[in-house]
Amino acid sequence: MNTESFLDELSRLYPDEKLLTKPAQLVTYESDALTSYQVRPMAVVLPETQEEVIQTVRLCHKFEIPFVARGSGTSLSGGSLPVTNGIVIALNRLNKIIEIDPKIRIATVECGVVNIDVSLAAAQYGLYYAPDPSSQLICTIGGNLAFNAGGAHCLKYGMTSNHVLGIKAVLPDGEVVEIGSASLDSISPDTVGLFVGSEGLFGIALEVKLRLLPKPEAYRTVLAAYPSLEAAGNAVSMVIAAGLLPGAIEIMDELAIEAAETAVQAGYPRDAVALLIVELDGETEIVDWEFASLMEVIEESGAGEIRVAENDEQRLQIWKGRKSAFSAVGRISEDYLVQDGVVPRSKLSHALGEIERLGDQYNLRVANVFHAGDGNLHPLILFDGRDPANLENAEVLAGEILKMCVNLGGSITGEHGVGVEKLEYVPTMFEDADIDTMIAIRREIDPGELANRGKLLPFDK
Amino acid sequence: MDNGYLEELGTKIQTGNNLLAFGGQTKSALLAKDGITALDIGKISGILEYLPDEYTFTAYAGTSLYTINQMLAEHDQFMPFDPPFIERGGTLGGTVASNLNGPGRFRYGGVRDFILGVKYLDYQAKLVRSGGKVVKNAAGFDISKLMVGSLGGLGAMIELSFKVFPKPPEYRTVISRFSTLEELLDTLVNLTANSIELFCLDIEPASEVYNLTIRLGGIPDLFPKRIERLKQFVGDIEILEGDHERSFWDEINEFSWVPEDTLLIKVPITPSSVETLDDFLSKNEIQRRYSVGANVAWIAWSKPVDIIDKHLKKIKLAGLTILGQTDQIRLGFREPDIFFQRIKNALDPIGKWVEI
Amino acid sequence: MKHNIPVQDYGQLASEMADAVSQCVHCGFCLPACPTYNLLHQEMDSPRGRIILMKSVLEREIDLEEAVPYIDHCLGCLACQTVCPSGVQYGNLLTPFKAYSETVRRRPAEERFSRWVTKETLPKPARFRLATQVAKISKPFASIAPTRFQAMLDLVPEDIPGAERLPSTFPAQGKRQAKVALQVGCVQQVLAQKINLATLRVLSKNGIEVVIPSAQGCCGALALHTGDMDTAFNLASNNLDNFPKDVDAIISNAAGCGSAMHEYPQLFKGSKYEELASLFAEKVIDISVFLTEIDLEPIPPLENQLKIAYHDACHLSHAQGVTREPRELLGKVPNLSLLPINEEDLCCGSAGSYNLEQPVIAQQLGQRKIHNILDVEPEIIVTGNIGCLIQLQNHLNQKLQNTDEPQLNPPVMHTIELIDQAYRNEL
Repeated sequence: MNTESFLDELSRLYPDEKLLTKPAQLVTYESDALTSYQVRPMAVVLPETQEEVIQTVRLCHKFEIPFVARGSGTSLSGGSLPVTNGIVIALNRLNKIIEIDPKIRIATVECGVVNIDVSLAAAQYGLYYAPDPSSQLICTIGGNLAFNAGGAHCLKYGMTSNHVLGIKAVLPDGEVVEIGSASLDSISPDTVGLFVGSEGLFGIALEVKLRLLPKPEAYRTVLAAYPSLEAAGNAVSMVIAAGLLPGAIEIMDELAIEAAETAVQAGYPRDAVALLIVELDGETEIVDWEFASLMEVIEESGAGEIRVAENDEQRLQIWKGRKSAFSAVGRISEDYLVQDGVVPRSKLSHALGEIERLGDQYNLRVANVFHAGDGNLHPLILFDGRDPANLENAEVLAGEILKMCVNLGGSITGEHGVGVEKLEYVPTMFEDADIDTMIAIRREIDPGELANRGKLLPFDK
Repeated sequence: MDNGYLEELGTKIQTGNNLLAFGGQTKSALLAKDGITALDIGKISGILEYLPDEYTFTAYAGTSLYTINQMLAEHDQFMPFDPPFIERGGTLGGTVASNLNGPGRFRYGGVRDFILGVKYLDYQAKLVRSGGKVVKNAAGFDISKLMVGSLGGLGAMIELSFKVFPKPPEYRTVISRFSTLEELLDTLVNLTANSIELFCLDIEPASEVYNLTIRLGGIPDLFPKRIERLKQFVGDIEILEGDHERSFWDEINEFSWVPEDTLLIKVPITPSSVETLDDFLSKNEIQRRYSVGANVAWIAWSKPVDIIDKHLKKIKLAGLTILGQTDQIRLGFREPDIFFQRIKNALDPIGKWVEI
Repeated sequence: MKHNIPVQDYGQLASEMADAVSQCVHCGFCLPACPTYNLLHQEMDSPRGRIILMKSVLEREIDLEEAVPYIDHCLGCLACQTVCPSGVQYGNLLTPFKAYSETVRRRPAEERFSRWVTKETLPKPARFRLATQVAKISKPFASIAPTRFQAMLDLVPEDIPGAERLPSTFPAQGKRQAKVALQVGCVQQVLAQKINLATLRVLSKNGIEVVIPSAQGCCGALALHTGDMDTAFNLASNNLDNFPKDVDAIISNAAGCGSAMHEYPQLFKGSKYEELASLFAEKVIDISVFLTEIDLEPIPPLENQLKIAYHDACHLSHAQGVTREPRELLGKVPNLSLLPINEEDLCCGSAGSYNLEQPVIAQQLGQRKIHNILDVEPEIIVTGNIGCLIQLQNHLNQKLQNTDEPQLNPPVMHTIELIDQAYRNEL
């Protein structure tokens, strides 16, 4: 189609500085948090109203121009990588918190609202928004929804999908739909559940109804150092076997501890080979009781140093370290790939051993930070991007790790999504019939494959 | 399961029309009627995998809830969405298709929040899988969630994977009475903004009063202190424990309070919409319960069905008949669901499955 | 992040620039900390966006002129550096990049003139005093001046103190604990000599002998942060030559100057001054830090409870990592309490000569800051930098002028002034 007339109409929709077309503007939108992929879009628009987004999508549909919706560009799977000859719809200015209703405990927000801002706005009612991806200080609700973001507290609280009640969205052909409702229950097929995690292939969520929870009145956060990852992994099994349901169970290895500690001085024991973080939260009486049994378990588990956060400040510092860990690894390696495979929790030790073996085989260092309670691994494969052979090796290693996760009965992604990065591994997890079904849904919603083309499913027009 | 039966189902799917899968036939209003090709999934039953350490299990869709509950209880675990109709013979597949949750849903969430994966037969009788067996997974479209509440309109579920949780060692139930629903709701809202962990939070309209029934779960030693704290919110209380307590909730979850000749209608609501609905129901002297912190109304409707249909339309609520004999399964306000229609077109392009 | 910067083409500081780029993983954690991203919500006005821009310019992938407006928007507050988990030394990229870009970029005449005026007056106390007198007379005409000049005129305080010369030494009272040199700051000498006098009194009271080298000049911060490396080099080497070597510390009471003097080793890298610059920088210490490191004479209790707000100057908190010490120092005043303010890490928009060069953004940030401060209803506003002090006072005045409602009007002062007044029972 005619790009010039598209841009012409686009500029009428965005008369002022909200349409970016200069190379210096576009270059800053070439990547999200996965910088090994870069694509320069034809244009970037910065809508400020939902209507502008709807009109933009309609224009793209009319001219068959592919579009990529982008929040804060924190995807680790290349989820908001632009498309050549397509546009980026940057939604950061669509950031109104429309309503917080304490009676039904729901926040209605626009898609560009930053995750943490929902909790900040809900705090005056003693409520908060539970999903807490590590990038929660900047990632947007729209991006969380598209990729079904997780975080450290999924074992007890679930993922984004478990906290979205309703969505107002513009479909790729410009049709505006509203799905879900304010009630926790429903008598219709769960289309909201299908929409969440669809990686932007169903269009753009404009407005989202989020479930809020009462802020836990008590927390107990425990750090325990172990002489090996295996020992830490066994401690996790012991905690689970004790019938405890902690809010979070995390493990970090030596490299990750060092990086995070350097970055934020979280107070982690530096000499630990593996560090276990367990957090209990909820009603004071229950948390106190659970804490006593947790400490028994930890003491029996062969832990070295054990530290308990004594106040909120220390607790937040522990989490700051954990949540900074990926980026902090930038201190020890200029380039890295973050993987996101899942294995059954009881196979954690086995999987970690395999990762170590594979790392040695490919002669690459691997740092590990993971949501142990969910079996959600985050091996960070360190490489030197200036050496193409090194990058290629890292990608092969990443693939081997994903295949291992699938073979152990797990998944190629727990919370980062397929994006572009894991596209070629989808067939390791799904049969043809499964993939064909997803393609059928995609084609029905978006025959032109305009919405976030090339993510989750291959572009095969 | 023997593959021969799967083939049999396949042939039925290929040759039949207006297909509808069924399991334990416990939801009488949702069963096959004339002109429908019924697929008996109840014959496909059995646990495929139960990993207590993983908090997960996979079972055939026709497996009875009773069997699953027994299996989980051996490891002090449970299905936190508290599925109803266990004694009546409800199946896992039926629970998913009809999206039925018990009062216990309040604590941790519903069927949608615990389903991990599905294998189902599609319109071409192909076995399609979505999701997985691990507690966390973000790969691919989440068709397993879409199956929740699909009422058999998208395919025949064969295998389902679920997440489970450790079961609290004991329960206590606390009942307090309020003279008006308004007063009760004020208390409910205060209570839900607090981090007191409640398993169930139900409203039971009785003659002249509204009972707020609260179920607590946990360690017995902690109950006295926790109940004292609850009293600060709800005032005078009656406490249930032991077998009495258990059967109180079991009966609620079997809907044994619903008379034989009435319809059981499910209406999703919110604490903001419950009062308008209750005005109408109390005037009509209808038996009812509001469950899950006033997020769902269960109505035992004994009058002509078009009366409630009209009223629900007026107050913009929608209902689904679960039990009883009627042609009107869907009631009240319903906007065309454009998005679902398109999904349905994709998954059932030649209209093999029942319209829902 | 991978880059293809031809390091050999960009001289002495190229490797530091390239290192900063490599260190960045583009995670976006810097975005919420960045004042301009908070206002504009676009990647080009974010730290990681600017890193991409500078990288692409250095790689010759994009045109400098296209990139430069966004680089100019950067306040240089370094809030991004504080929050960066990967440890990107953003300042190590920004300063040399500006130096490089100044050598090749084109600027419109008006901009060139105002930058020249800034450069030729702010760092030169005598000229600056003259200029402020002229500006004061011109204030009534501000409305007809171009935005850029309007901003300059706005910032001139209503009353400019007369010239007050500082002595060349100031003796210690009681037992001498240490001997230090004081860096007096150019703007500060003209607009707020009282800060220097307060510093001298507090130091003396604590047994510190102070020398004030008369040949000292501007620290070079302004030149350094606007990319005028030759001027910065000359000014800084003058200080290296003229500050005594036999002192225990070089005290700075202006965050911007202190931060710049800590950058001397980078500025002189590879020159004959390299070693001297390192020795000098090691001795440079902010007055608030210095006072928490010595045995402080007890401060008499205040008569009444006093609630104050402390504003972190970016060049103290982000550039020098000083946030705890000023609070600790203020905490030593009995009966004084600190009110926590919202968005305390966010720049007030002063940022050296920024409010002259980017008046629109500076204005928005100033308003936001004063709003956040007044929100907690402090009785006094305290900060550790003359630039912030003027910016805060200015926005407080604006707020007072633009409303008929009763409005709080707390005094704005330097941390050391408060300490001095507390010693003298003047609070």
